[in-house]
Amino acid sequence: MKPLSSSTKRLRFAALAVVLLSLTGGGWAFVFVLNSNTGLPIKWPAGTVQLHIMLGSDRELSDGSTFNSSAAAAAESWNTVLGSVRLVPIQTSGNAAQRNGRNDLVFATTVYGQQFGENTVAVATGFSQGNERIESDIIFNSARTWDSYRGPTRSGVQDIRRVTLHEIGHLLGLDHPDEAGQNVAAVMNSRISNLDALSEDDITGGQSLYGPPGVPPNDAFANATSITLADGRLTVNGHNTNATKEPGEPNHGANPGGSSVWWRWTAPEQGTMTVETRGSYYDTTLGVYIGSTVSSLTTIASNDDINPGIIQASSVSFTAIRNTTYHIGIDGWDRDTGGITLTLNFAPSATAIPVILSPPASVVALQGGNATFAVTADGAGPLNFQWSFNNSDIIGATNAVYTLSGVSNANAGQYRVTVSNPFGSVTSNPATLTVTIPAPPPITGGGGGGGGGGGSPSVWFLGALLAAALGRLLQIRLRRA
Amino acid sequence: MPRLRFLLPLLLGCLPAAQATSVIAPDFENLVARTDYTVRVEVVAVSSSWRENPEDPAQRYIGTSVELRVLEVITGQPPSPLILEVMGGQVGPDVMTVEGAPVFRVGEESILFVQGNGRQVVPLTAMMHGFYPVRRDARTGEARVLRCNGKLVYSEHDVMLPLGATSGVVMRNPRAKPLTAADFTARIRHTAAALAEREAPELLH
Repeated sequence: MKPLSSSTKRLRFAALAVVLLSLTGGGWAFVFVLNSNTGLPIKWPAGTVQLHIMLGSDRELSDGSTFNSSAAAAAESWNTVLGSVRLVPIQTSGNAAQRNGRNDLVFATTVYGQQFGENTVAVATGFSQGNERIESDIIFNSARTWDSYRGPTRSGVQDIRRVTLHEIGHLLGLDHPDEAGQNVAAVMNSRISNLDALSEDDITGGQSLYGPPGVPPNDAFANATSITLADGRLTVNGHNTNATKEPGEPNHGANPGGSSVWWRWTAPEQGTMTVETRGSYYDTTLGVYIGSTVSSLTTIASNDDINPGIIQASSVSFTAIRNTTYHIGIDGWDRDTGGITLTLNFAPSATAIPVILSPPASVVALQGGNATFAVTADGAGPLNFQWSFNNSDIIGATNAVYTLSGVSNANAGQYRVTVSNPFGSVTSNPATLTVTIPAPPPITGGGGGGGGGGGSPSVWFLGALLAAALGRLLQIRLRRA
Repeated sequence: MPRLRFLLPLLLGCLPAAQATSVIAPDFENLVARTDYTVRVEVVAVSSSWRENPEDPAQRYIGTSVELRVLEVITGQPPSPLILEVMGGQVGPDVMTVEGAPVFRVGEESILFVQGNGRQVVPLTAMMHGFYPVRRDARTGEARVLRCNGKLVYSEHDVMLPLGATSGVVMRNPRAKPLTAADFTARIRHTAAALAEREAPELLH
């Protein structure tokens, strides 16, 4: 009988809920009817939920309503605060039927042939499979005296409006906060009170399951909510009700989903970051990425379930690099939606092995010129560097930057750098040095060449011309003599 | 305790002003008076199945049989064997819940105020108000009585408090000791005897 929403089971899960809520710093007391296998609330899938209200419309009550219209008004009260489901009251007549896929609200003398018990005013029954509710009926004890009124409760007269508010809360998946040891003003408390409308606690409980009306502000990747941790941790709340998936967006947790929301966080230093969705009110999927546009993200980590099918919250851990911005996408398995509790825990790495942030780049240098290789790395200090050339360590090359002067062909080859600290080491991919020979210097001596036209005549040519001229001049003078 | 039923019209006037949405919480005297029998039990077995609505056999619901080992009969005369019939449970993938109904787990001990077994949705007086788990104190080994929300019972009058409320006994004396199962049992018997005394006609000799 473990699936029953028993006080015993409720205690266990309520205790869990209280722990989770205390972790979030929330002051809410709402509790849920839970799937005993997954620990997740049993709720309706997104869409409409028809209520067949068969309480009667032939009698005018104290507030001018009828039983049917008063119950319908209770349903509308819930509608104004819920996002992913809409209750559709259908005022009709007939008898309750169990397990017929219809949600009936009726007066009756028995609950499917069983007596209410002397003290029982109304009974809400529910049918569910997995985390989904598939039918719920509310049966009001017709042996009681009923009316519809606001304000303080009247002795011996039940107010159909507030009882319906309460029972619809059960139909939606809420349970009694006072039975979980909480002390709050709530229509969902196990005892009726002078409270005749939904309280903040009731509304927050309902919105944890179904979200508020409207689209969440962090629906789009570009509108990701920025997160700043306090003392290395933070829990934030949100919801993915009515959220959408963008073109090119990756599948978080390897599930297509369809209702994602986004947060972003920039690592202040290197360390281990754990992101998880425990305490969320639906079956989440989670992905962590780097990149600037939603259609070209690089996946850092991704998860659907912590324990597949059993713990349907998601969790990932990864090594975060200083000054890197991580985008956290949260969706729902098979488009599931609801309240999100996102917890981030960051442990700066006092023992972090080195990580190369920017590897050395290949260089082309002129023979006789200089060549410089550089690496940027992070990790627990101090960091040590050792450059190597064609897999042989270079003596004295132990800084983040390595420069060769007067390079020659003998220096051409592959250069790597190994970065190490007391906790480990990492070696870069090779960077190649290519040495080029400078363009040959212009010819300044020796014959030949010539020709080609244009340009200045060579010295040899001019010299020869001058010699020829001098020879000619000498011949002329010898003839005259 | 059929004779106590004659007191019901009188006792109804004693109902507390505070009411439950689903269930009106009785005070301790009402709880004892309205109960068919009170037993301290251990759950031996539970099994769920589809049941027919006797008023409309075409309609079915899930019901659960809870087989109990009676550790102590406190008031009344329970049948033997004692098997509670509770609406709700799980058959295959189908789960039926009745909000406010307690659940029974094999091996767990409790004090039950049984009413209308086989006839009521939940055969306990005022549903969760007729269900008191018994747990051993890890330090002293004493058997303590809890309310359905896990709160310790310090006085028999705690049964009519709102579930979130603190016992008046604790309010007056924060170091007060909670009731043991033996204490609670004794007070049930005492109240049942007082009710029977009031009900019994004076005999002339």
